[in-house]
Amino acid sequence: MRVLIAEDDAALQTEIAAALRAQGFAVDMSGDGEEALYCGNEYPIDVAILDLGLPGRNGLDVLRAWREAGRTFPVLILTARGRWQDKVTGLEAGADDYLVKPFHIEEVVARLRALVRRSAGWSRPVIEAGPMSIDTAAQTVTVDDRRVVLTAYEYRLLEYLALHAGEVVSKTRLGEHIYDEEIERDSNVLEVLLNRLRRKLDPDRSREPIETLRGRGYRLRLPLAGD
Amino acid sequence: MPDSLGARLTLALAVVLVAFLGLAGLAVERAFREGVEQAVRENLAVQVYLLLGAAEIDGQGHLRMPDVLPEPRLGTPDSGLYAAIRDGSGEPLWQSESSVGLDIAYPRAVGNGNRRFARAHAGDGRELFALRHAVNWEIHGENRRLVFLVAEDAEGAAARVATFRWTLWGWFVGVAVLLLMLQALLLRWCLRPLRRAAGEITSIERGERARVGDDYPFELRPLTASVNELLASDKRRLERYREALADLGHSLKNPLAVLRSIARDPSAGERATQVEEQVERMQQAIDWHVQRGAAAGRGGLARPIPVADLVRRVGASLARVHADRTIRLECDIPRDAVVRGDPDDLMEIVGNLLDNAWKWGRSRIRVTTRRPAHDGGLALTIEDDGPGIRPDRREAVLERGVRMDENVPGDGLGLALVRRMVEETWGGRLELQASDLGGLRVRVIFPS
Repeated sequence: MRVLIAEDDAALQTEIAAALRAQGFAVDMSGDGEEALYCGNEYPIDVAILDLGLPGRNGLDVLRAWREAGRTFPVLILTARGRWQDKVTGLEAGADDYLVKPFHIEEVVARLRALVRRSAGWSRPVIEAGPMSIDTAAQTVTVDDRRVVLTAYEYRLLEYLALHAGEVVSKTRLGEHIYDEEIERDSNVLEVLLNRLRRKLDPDRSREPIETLRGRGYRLRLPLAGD
Repeated sequence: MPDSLGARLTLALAVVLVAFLGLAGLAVERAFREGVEQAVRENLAVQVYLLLGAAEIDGQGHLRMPDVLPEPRLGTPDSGLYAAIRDGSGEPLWQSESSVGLDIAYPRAVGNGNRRFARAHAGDGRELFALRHAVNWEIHGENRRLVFLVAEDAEGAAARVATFRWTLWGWFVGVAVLLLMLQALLLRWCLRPLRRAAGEITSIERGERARVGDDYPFELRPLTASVNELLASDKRRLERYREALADLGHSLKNPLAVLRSIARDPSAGERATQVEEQVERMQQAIDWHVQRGAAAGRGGLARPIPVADLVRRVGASLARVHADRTIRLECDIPRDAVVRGDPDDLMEIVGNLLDNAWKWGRSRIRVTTRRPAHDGGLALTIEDDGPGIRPDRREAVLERGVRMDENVPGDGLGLALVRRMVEETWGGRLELQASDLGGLRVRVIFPS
């Protein structure tokens, strides 16, 4: 998941970024309204944390501009005042959730995960795909009730595919959403990662949960009932 | 002194009017009486000349008067016109038939004047106007002094004066009444801007308007401009306070957030819990005081806020936040249900209460309003079908810093804060009851 943190307080920004990276997010950061607006419009982010009191251009303006530009990624607003007027205005401007400062960092992570899941159309934290079950809250994966141990990047990859199950996800898009800017992307690395993931999920190659569509990308098959 | 401008002006103008009309009346009456007396005097002078013309002195030097005089009234007894002729020593020489039997005290000579007009009295007490006219009559080369005395009843003149007086005062009273009425109308008209200003200030107090109008007469404009300036500066000051408090809160919150996450870090060691506890306490103190300071209170502009709109806005926002839960918000509020006050404050109350309802409710939240019959206030009720609060815990959750459940996120200020705002800002009441939906019913009573 790629998250944009738009927060001008450097200490808080670092704190949130560190926590989110540890939780497997790809993180972009911005401490200024104009820059945040640009990042939200130009980067393929999945979710944003937006402080309402940004310098340059205030959070509400940025949010409205994103929504006007047709950007639909979920947005979690941070407000220091905690006034309901601010919260309601923010939510009416297109935010999906709010947090009042100061907050527990776990709360931020939990809210972000819920937002991403919800925006992908999953209402519960556990995504079921046939025999496979992905708990996005605990970040654990089981196949046929057998726990599968994944590395952080393997999990990110699977989670993204699962949230967009049934869709064809191109290699570029996959790379953009699991890595942040700072990491040099190499398509071969992604392929290696994918093959390792396939082996872990489906050791005997009987189910092939992740399809490869040559030249187009990958798709997590979502078995229909009775499949 | 009466404490009404209208009464003062009416009283003052009435006194002036009465004094003016009274003095004018006296002057006019006096002038009229003098005019009447002047006419009487001229008439008497004419009579004197007629008598002079009629009088003759015979060979023996005796005065002879004709039997029939040109003025018939002199020949008619008690006719009201009387005459007599005397010689220089006052010896009566002749008297008119009309004055027979009447002992008229004609005026005496004063100094060497030949003519004197004065009031006189008849023997029976009647009042008369009399003219004394002395002439020197040359008889056989000898100068004899004759005094012609003419008198007329004062009654006629008095009657004319009386009639005139009645007419005059009648008119004056009429005019005075008319003027007083006119003055009352003028007063109403002139004082109308003052009444309007008072009305506008009252409606500012009630929060129906923000400022006094600008279209006042120029005498009042300094006052209305000052009132507006005062209102504006009050508003600015309130905004400054709010800003300053919010800024203070804001500037403390980021460091607190960082402190808190540092304390949560496993490497922080065993004292981390203590640090976190203190951070929590600081956080609560900031929330409590910032929110309290931010409450505008009655001093601010108390606009009527439509409750239904506000509840729907907050409800829609909360539904967005809790999109993964299927909670039905039943909002049964008439369009005209309003609460007067600061919209931010009301939203704070509705937001906190609805947020609680969303946190605890299972599937239904009901918001209703009722207007108690006895006063113009409004009772807002928010109910949910959650677990509710046991009756013996209800008082405790209204205390500052007590949470309903330590495991559900919340700053523990919600209900206590709402209660304080309702009480301090509106002078209202907050009641916790059991709802027939199964959960908690919060009733907020806003007095009129």
